Amino acid sequence: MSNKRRIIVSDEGAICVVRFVDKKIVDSASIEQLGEELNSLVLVDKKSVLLLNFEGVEFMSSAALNKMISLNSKLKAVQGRLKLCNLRAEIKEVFTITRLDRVFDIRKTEPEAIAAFKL
Amino acid sequence: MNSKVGEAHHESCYLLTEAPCKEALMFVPTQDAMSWCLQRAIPSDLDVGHEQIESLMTELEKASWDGRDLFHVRMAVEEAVVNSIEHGNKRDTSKIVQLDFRVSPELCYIDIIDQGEGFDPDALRDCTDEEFVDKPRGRGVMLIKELMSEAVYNEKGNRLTMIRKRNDPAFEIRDEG
Repeated sequence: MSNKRRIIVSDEGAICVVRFVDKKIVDSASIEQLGEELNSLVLVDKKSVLLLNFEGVEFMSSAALNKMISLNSKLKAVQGRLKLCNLRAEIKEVFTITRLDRVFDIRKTEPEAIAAFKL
Repeated sequence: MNSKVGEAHHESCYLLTEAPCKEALMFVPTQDAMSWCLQRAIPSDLDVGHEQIESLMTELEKASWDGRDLFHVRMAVEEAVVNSIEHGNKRDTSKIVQLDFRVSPELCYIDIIDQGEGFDPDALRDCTDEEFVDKPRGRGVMLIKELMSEAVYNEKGNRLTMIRKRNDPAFEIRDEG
């Protein structure tokens, strides 16, 4: 698997679980790198079932949101699946305001999200 | 250096003059009514912009802001500063962004002016529309309007003035999901 600096990746069976290194995802260079690393999971590492675990993430800007949207598009193109979990209430609210809660499957906990993949 | 009330006028302050926003805010807090003010012209550099945002966040926390109030201000000011530097001044380092941040335990006032061509915030596409909801970009201005008590642009669209009241009842009813 290619080297990652902004994310920590682990496999739960067929599910690729992604955690974030940064508590605050705002720095523009880091966001660009984050986007490249997320995309490379799909394009280089050929992962198609991804769970983004936001545990520990305190803040993310809309520039970071855009990277999630791009990742979602990449996954859709390969008939992949994406879920999000462990969003703090304020970040979940951002998804709700922007209606991105309709684009992403957001689950409360990692076990709940993993179970939902298996449905 | 961050400025306290009474010593707020930095030599680089108020280089830009722009007409006030087309819709007036309910009120603009005077500096002496606030516990902290920062007035500064910064280069179009995101790192410098983020340093000012961190200063604002630190002062809000000192003034006992927390939780959603703090998060909402951080989101709005982050989007606003990045928009001014990236879309307004197009990262031209010869252009400046003028910031005016004012904090009290009950109110946060933010005024941001860039040297860009401006834009019409009402003409932006609706990023929640079915056609665009899964497309990147276009969410910053919406978040600013949704997360602040008031947010108004000037006619040209290169100046944004906004306030957030702490514990504003307008934000109590929103669904937590």
